[in-house]
Parts: sequence; structure tokens; C-alpha cells
Amino acid sequence: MSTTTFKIFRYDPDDGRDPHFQTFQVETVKGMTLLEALYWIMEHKDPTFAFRSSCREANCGSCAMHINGSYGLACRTQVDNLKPPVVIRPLAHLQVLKDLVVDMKPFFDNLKAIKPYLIPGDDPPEKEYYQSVDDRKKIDHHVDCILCGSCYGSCPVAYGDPKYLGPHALLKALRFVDDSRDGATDERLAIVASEFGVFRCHTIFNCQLVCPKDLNPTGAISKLKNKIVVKKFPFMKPFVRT
Amino acid sequence: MRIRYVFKGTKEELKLNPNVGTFSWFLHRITGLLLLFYLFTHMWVLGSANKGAEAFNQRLSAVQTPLFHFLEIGLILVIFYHMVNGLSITLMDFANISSKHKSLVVAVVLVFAILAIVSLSVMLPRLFAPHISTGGLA
Repeated sequence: MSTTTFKIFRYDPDDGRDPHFQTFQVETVKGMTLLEALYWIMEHKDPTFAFRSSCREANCGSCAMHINGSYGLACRTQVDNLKPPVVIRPLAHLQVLKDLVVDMKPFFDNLKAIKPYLIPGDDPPEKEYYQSVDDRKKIDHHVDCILCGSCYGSCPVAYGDPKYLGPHALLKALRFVDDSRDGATDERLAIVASEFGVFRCHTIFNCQLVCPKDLNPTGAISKLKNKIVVKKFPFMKPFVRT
Repeated sequence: MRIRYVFKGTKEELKLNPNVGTFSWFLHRITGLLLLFYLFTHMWVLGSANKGAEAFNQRLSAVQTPLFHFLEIGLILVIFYHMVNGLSITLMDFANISSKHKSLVVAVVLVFAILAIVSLSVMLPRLFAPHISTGGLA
């Protein structure tokens, strides 16, 4: 057992103090995750400490936060791998409600804007939709997104413009555009080609670097850009990869 | 207020995301603004040609000073960075090679370094020692 120093962002709208960092000494053991350390602080040091978590196995995406210079999930970060003092901040670009809890409403509003559900085409099949193995492989990568918000927090464009759809929504848009069963490709491409869509992306690659699921939102955005270009200018097809 | 918001945000983004991408994005925007500033200066000098040869020569000689020669070196570096980085982003989008981001960054740095070394090796002697480099013709 050893002791590790944690510097954690604290803010409570009710106590009248400005946001500040509070230092905690945490007794850590080998194999301890950051989420366990946060629970240890809540149980042993300060019961008013607030953060979100649920599944503890990188499936729900609740515990995304800024950990020592990068975004990630607390539940899949080993305390041993972090350089003390461990500095923890909430997700950026979203309003802080209390401590590490942020208001995710703008994040999910942006997701809703791209209609993240299957829209059947004009001629739905009588029984179930058939999808070949090859067609399924096209969306294999994108369906893994757990909507944790790490990419949205790391994207400088999201700071400048809250209306910007964000890497999470655009990745999800490609997931449906690439889905062979979906019938609203043109509608979705029109949404992501709007003023606050793919062309706001500055290709900064932060979303790709921080994604805890190793997905590639930057690549998804460039694919969507190419699809929009080919739709508008069909002669560009040989020059771009969609 | 808006300007302060932009400055504060840029500082925060650089602090919270110390990645290559954030810095290259920041430099791309700064060099873009510098090029815009240069464009106006450039037109201010060339625009004097409307008032005749005399006025043009006079204004041109005003910028042929050591200070402006140093700024010209900066200008070359700014142009090359903005050009190479912009081309790499275009290539990344069209060829969809976002998974090779790290190689792309290395390529940008290499091409930028080669362009800078070659052009400065031609430019520096002409700017500061014209009697040697061009046989007294300049």
C-alpha cells in the first residue's frame, strides 16, 4: 500500500465558493483503478464529493473526465500508470453542475440532431432486414461508441461553437450512413453538411487520440466530407476515398 | 468580450490538450492571420504603382531595410508552414489516411524543414551580402 496525491476540481453552486482544486492523499494498492480511488475519497475523506459512474467496466461511458493532461474513463485507468500528483478535472465544454458532474444536455442534443436511429427506406422487407457479413463489417468500428464525451471535451472547435455537432454525433451519423439497412442517407448527409456539421472540423485529431474505445471520429468526419463532395460533384469520385 | 473569450479558450485548449494536433491547429490559425496582415502590406506597396513610378520606387525603398529583411525570413517560414500543413490536411481528407496521423506529422515537419533550408540558403546571402552572392549585380 502506498499514498498518492490527488488534486481534484471542486465546485458546489450552493456553498458560494469559486471553483478550486482540493488536494487529497489516497491510500492506493496495486491494481486499483482511478474510479476506485475516487470512491475511496468519497467514502473516507469527503462524502459530498460528486462524480458519475455506473458499470465500472468501460461500457457505459459515465465516468469520462480529464485525467493528467488527457481525457479518459476513470474505470479503465490504473492509478499506478498515473504520474502524481494526479490532476482530475470534469469534461470541458459542458457546464459543471457539481464537482466532476457536468450537464450533458448539449452533448445529447447534438446527437439527436443527426437522428441516431434506423430510418427504414421506401420499401421495407416483409420479415427482417437482411445484412450481409461484408455490409456489417463496414459499421463494425463505429457501433462501439459508448457516448462518454471524451472526444467532445477534447475538441477545441466545440469550445468555440456549442452548436457544432461534435465528433460523437458525426461518428454516429457515419454509422447510419454506412448501414446497408438505413434508408435516410441523403437526409443525414444534408444534416452533417450544414453550417455546424463536418466542415467545421479543423482536423485536430484530439478526438482520435483520447477515444477510450480506440475509435476514429476524425476519419469518420473525413469520410462524411468525401461522401458529401461526391454527392454534390460526382466527377470527384475517382479522387476521393469514401 | 468575444476576443477575450477566444484568447482564454485557446489558452485553455492548449493547456488541457497538449497534443501535436492542438499545436498545429493553433499555429495554422496564427500563420493564417499573419498572412492576411502580409497581404494588406503587400497591396499597400504594390498599390502605390497607380501613382506612378516615382511613388512606387519610394515606397519600395522604404521596405528594403534590414528590419524588413528579417521579417521576410519570417514570412517565408510562415508561408511554408501554412502551405505544408494545409496540404497535409487536404491529403488526409481526400485519401482518408487519418489512421496514419503520426507519419503525416513527421512528413509535414520534414517537408517544412527541407523547404526552409533550401530557400533560406538561397535567400540569406542575397538579402545580407548581395555584392558577394550575385557578383554585385543586385
